[in-house]
Amino acid sequence: MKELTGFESDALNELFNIGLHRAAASLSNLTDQRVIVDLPRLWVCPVAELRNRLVGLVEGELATVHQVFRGEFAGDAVFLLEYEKAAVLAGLLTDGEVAGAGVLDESAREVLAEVGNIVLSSCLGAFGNVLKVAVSFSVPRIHIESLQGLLSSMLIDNHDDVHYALLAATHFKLSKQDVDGYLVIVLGISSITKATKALEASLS
Amino acid sequence: MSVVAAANTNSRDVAIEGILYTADLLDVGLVAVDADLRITHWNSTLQTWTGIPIEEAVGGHLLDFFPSITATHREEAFRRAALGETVLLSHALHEYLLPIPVNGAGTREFEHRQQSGRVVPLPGSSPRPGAVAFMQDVSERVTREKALREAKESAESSSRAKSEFLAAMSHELRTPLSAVIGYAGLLTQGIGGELGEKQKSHVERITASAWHLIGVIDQVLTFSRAEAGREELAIQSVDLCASARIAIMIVEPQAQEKNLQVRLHTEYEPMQMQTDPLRVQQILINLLGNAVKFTDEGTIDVTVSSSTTDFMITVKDTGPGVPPSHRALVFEAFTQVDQTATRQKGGTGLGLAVSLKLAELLGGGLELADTEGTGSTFVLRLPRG
Repeated sequence: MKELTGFESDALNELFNIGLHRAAASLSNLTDQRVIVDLPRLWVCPVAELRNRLVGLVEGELATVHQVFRGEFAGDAVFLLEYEKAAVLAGLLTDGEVAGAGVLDESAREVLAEVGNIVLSSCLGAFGNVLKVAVSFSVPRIHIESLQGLLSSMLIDNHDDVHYALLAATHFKLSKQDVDGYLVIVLGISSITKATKALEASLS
Repeated sequence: MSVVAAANTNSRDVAIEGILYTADLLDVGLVAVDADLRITHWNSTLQTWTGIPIEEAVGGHLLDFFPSITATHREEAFRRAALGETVLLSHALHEYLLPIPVNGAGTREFEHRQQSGRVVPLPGSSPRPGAVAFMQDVSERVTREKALREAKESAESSSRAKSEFLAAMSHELRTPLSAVIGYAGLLTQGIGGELGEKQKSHVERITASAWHLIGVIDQVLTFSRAEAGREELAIQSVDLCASARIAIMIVEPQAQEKNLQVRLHTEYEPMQMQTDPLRVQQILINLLGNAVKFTDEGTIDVTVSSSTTDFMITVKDTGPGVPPSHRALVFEAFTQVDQTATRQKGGTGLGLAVSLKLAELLGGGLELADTEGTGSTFVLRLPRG
């Protein structure tokens, strides 16, 4: 199994940072309030180890937004938050219009799907820009599920032998409160190699 | 089906016609544009919503029909979708994708038709890229959610107002009652002149009634404070058996008057736990007071026991018990099972509501055990640790 080099790991980190910066700008613009999205930690691990990583980070019911992406650069991307935190985030972004009493009603789920869409497409868009390929996305789908449900629903194509999971912790800073969420992007090693090579080329 | 497709009919147009047809069936508005935002498809639903006929819309420019979306997230959504992205526009953040004035009945609360929108790349976009937008009318849902939210807020604020009113009122009522009791005491002691027997008996009744009223007000005060979340706890190490003994001592005189026997059973002694002793006693005195009040003959058994998770204090009487139809009501404030009993036995119907609130405040619970026909059994449950 190919281990990621320090450079590859740094490259991915940089791509995520660019993507999240774009996501934060979109969210700030959209909600007329300052939104900062930090990327405090990033892990790259074989997909089989994803469960062990996530168990220590989230618990209980999760709100997840899935977007499958295809093309030269293919995989599954998920934005996930604990249910309560998802309700807090939706409430903060809409100034309390949705998710009153901590319940993710239909409107709140839609808001989260949109936020997930912005975050995921910003991050993957950053990958696409560097690779100079168009990434095509499925429509974002929101689910309320357990960690087990999430792991079993992650779409992984079999033709690419080794799959890596990029797991990124995100931290939304809003004027009133901070909310933690996570991004999981499952990619074949070939896509990661392509991304890092392209990045290397663009830097040199 | 009324669809005007772009000039070149090929397999993609056939696919789009299928999508248009489905969107109409589902009452979803659909517009497709090319990369320059020129309209290529416009479905019947949008024709109905906007009054713009399909023939007029197709071939026109999206921004000519909807100039207000220029340089907004909405225009950007179309442009990004034409480049291959999928963009979702939630109602709560955008209200609508296209500004379509409301004309239908029942949705007049809004100026624009409330929409949940998604914009996706046209299928098989290359070599003619474009975007297709779907708009779902969510006006009804939004109205429903808004009504729910308002109902909840108003319920919360009136409940809060009630608790605050009760707390303030109780305090205001208690102050003059202290004066009534004080001055009645002065009269009884003969300060300011000796009283005759009849006068003495009148003053005693004034004093007794005033004390009763203070008891009622204290219950209301405790209840409203607990409900408003303002009751503070003083946690310390407590022997539950000793607490039960003190509570029994307090109700014993009334029990003796009615010839009732009050017995205490303990699993082991002392049974120590960390809790607020005054609250535990307040609950036990309420439970025992009720038991004495509603039992005319027999015994009242108090049992202190424990399990791996909880400590339990059970108060069992040989009174009339609670009929099944009223079991759900006993913990409601201001409710007594038998309204005629209120007149016979007195009381506000607050005792159990207060006790339940206090038990919850202590992290435990209060239950009515299912023992119909053999009196009532109440179980106070307090968690270990």
